[in-house]
Amino acid sequence: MLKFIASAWVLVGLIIGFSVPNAQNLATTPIAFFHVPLAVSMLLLFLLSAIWSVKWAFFGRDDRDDARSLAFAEVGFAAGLIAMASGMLFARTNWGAYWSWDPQQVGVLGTLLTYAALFALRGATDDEGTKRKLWTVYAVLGVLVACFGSYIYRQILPENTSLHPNKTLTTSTPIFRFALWFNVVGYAMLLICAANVRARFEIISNRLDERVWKRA
Amino acid sequence: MSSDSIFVLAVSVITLGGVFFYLLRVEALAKKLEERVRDEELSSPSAPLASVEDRPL
Amino acid sequence: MKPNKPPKTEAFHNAAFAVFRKDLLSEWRSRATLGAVALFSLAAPITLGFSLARQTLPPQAQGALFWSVLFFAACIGLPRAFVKEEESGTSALLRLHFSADAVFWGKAAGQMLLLLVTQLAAIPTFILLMGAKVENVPLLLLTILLGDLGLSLSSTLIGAMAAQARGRGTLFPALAAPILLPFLAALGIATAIAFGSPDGNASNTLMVATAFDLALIGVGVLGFELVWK
Repeated sequence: MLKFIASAWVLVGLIIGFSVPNAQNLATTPIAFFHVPLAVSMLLLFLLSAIWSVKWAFFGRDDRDDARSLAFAEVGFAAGLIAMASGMLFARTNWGAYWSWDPQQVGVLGTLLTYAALFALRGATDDEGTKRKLWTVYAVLGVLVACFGSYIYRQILPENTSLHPNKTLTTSTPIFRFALWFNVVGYAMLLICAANVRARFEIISNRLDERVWKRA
Repeated sequence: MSSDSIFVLAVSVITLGGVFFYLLRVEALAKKLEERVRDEELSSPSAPLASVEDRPL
Repeated sequence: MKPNKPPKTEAFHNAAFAVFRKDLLSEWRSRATLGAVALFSLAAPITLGFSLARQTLPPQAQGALFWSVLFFAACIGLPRAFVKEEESGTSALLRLHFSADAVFWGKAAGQMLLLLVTQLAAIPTFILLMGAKVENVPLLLLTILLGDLGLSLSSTLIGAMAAQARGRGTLFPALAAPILLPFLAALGIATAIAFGSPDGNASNTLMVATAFDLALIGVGVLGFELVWK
């Protein structure tokens, strides 16, 4: 059901995004309504991933929770990549370069590196139980890094180092803010749907692995 | 809205449509797989049946 | 396996101290890790000095390089603490004898001491070779203390994880670097300010570093048991 709502929501969001007048001295406003929601959804998905993994570790050790955690991290990673790529296109038209070592760009790069390491850790551990335990701890650390990379890093740098406008999500004009948040909700729902589907495959895969082990 | 942005909007909407139908397709695939695994587990349980029922997919 | 009742504080201190003492003794017998870390933290600034060939870097770059060198030096020595246990098969004994908390704090204290000892040699060398002017000594010392605390806590947590993965600890730098990225960035800026850089706000960066240390303590206390058992 959620996937129908999400898709319709994103469709309306797209139309709103294209009909809002250009703002904030940006040459190509509509891409902002794609880039920002994906970045915010990435954070949300990483947070949900950590919550599922903590639920696995401390509340019941249900392997399905671990599968969900993996799925949310993977989809979040993909969202981060898309946000970065769209951000680079956005930066090319607005700031004149694809990559300018903006704190926000570096922050999301660090976040993606963290999750790449997280997947590497999962691949490098043989025992199922150990794999999931290590995943839990590292996923929680990953959320810390993600929050830091997106919000705190630019605050500790000298002012105006960042090309990104500050606090777009809370202090821009009402119409711009409405369009942003509307799209954030839409893309977040769509990505959560995708993550749920991914989780179902992971759960099936776990079950099949178990059966192979039991037969052997 | 200029004709350029209408073109971009059209491309975005088509992409969204593609994503939506792909999501539907993959979800149907997941459902089919789940049913097959469940049938398999019920017909040749390697674990006691009770535990199969305990753990829904 | 582990006693389920919460350990009495005194017994806990004794256990943590016993782990710390054991690490110290076994390290002192071979002095392998100490030598490796100390030599690296000498070699790195010398290499930098050679390749930069008499250029004076701005304090911002010095602050960033300072923590990069210390981080990579830590990467060489610190994961050994757990790899050693896994290799010699003593980790099972450690698991049986001590609670996870005691191992965590004991190991972290050992790592901290190792870092401080090696940095006694490394930091003056770095400052001399890089031509850094220390304008704010208390800030530098505070930064180093916060940084070492974070490095030792994270290397205990992540070292225990890496030691259990395939390849025994080779994954450590890949795991630790992205996690410590924000931390090292904040420390680098604070150190740059101590070296006389005009931009940035010292109290903000120290606050971020402290927050990161606290977060590591939190994740460590809750998560180490999960990683270790």
